[in-house]
Amino acid sequence: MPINPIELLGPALLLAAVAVTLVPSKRLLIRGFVAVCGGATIFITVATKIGPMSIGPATVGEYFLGTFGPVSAASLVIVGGYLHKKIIGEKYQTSHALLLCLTAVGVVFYPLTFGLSNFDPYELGYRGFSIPGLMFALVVIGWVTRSVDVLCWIALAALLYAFGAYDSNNLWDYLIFPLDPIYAIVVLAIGIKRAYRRSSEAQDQLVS
Amino acid sequence: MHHRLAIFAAVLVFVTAAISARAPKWPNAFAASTSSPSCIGSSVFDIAPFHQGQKYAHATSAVNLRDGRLRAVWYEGARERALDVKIWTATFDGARWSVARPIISPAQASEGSGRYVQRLGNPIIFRDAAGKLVIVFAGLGGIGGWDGASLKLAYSLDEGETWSAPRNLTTAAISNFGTNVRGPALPASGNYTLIPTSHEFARPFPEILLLDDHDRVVGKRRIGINHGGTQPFVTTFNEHRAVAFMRVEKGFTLFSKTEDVGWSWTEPRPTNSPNFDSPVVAARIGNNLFIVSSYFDAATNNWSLNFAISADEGQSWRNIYARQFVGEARYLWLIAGSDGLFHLLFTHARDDGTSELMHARISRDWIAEQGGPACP
Repeated sequence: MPINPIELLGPALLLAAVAVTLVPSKRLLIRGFVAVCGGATIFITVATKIGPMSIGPATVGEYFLGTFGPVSAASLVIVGGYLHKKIIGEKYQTSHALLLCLTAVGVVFYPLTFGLSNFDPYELGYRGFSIPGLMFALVVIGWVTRSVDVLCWIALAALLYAFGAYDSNNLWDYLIFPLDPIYAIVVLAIGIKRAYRRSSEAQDQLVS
Repeated sequence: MHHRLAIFAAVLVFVTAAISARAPKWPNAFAASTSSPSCIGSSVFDIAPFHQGQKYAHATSAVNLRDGRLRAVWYEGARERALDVKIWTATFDGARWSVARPIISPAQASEGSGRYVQRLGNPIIFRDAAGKLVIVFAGLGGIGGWDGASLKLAYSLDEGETWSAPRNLTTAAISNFGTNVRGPALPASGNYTLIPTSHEFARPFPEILLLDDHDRVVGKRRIGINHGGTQPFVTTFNEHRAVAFMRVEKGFTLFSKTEDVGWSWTEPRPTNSPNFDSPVVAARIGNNLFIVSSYFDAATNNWSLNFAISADEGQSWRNIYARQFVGEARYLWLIAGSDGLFHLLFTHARDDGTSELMHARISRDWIAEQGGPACP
């Protein structure tokens, strides 16, 4: 079994999200049809060498997985949430709790994996209670802040890990993907910039 | 709704914790190492090419087969990291080498691993705890050089005649980038295998991977981050203690010791042996280490193989013999054969970009003759 279909869920969802974003129609039925049919078509084509979806000797799926690896549960929740909101015609917004959690975890985790010290947090993902402990803390954060996406993130990561869905035995690979904290930081920065602009405008109005 | 979802997530986290708690522990002993060759009553030291590549052949490694032959694997193509590079193999029956043949191509690696592999390199071959022959090699995708490599694994149930489709080994946090391999694998208790590797993405440093009896990665430890050593070669002294020698870009070969089967390592420190971007090899002879390194001498514009003995577990080396070569002579592999000899394999690169693979047979008696540990 050369390619793991569950690992292709990420790239297929990403491409489906792009397809739905590009659909000009505002009709729910059309967007839903495009998402389902487009997603299914994309899923099949990224997994097999069909015409324009193969890049040289490899499929799109092989190319994506060879370059980025399988995406995390966090990415799946974000892209899945975006896709859902797009289909039903609402504006998608990642919760602040999820953005802050991804930023905090990513900012600590990734620099340490580069070799800042002899401590390797990635090693903790192979065994022991450290990472499950962190996941439990994130569940508590999700519960307290009523952030459904945080709870979905942890539940999905735990499910994927429990079923050995990816070829990794390391819990980190199910939890977080390098683009997750980058996305979170960018969205938080945009939010802070907007809030600053709004408060400046409000102050200007008060002065005038 | 979020209350129920929180409870569901918490239950799943407890399941995760239970699975994680049952994950394989780090082994508590190295498996008994094969005894080093003893004196055979005659001094043997010969060097000859065993594969005259029309292209560039490099990075040989070898394993003993059950019938006493030696099986070597290497990579070969137009040049290092060329698109036509494949992994090749040949066997040595004690008298002559078989005709070499390719066994793994980038297309096979892509197909088998489900990940795009554009180029291959650095295969190591070993026998795993289940008795299979295993090749672990670096696969490079479309982005980056060696710093973008990830490891792939293929196995053989018939002593290397046929090979499984390669599969992926996930070993790094950032898109599985930057793990390379060169040194020989070490068997450990509990049917585990330890593979010395190096992290080469962004900041290079040596590591050691733990594979279980299904050849899945179940652990990893850093040897040390300072000095940037790569491609560790690990030699065991007893069931707990081992030393790792690391290649550096320019300077002195680094060494680091472990007393707990590779779980923790001393801070890597330089030995007294110069290193010019080339891994070293070592084997234990009693309480001494027999070390072979390659070095580029800028004054003579030649490469030399330096044979040395260390009586202090690798900290300081005493050279006993040197052999000069015109053109690069590097990427050594040292194995104790079933014929009672050491077999040293290495690359001799020519100026025209092609290379030949070399094979040296060395008896313990010859090492004693050169001033190494005396024959008992």
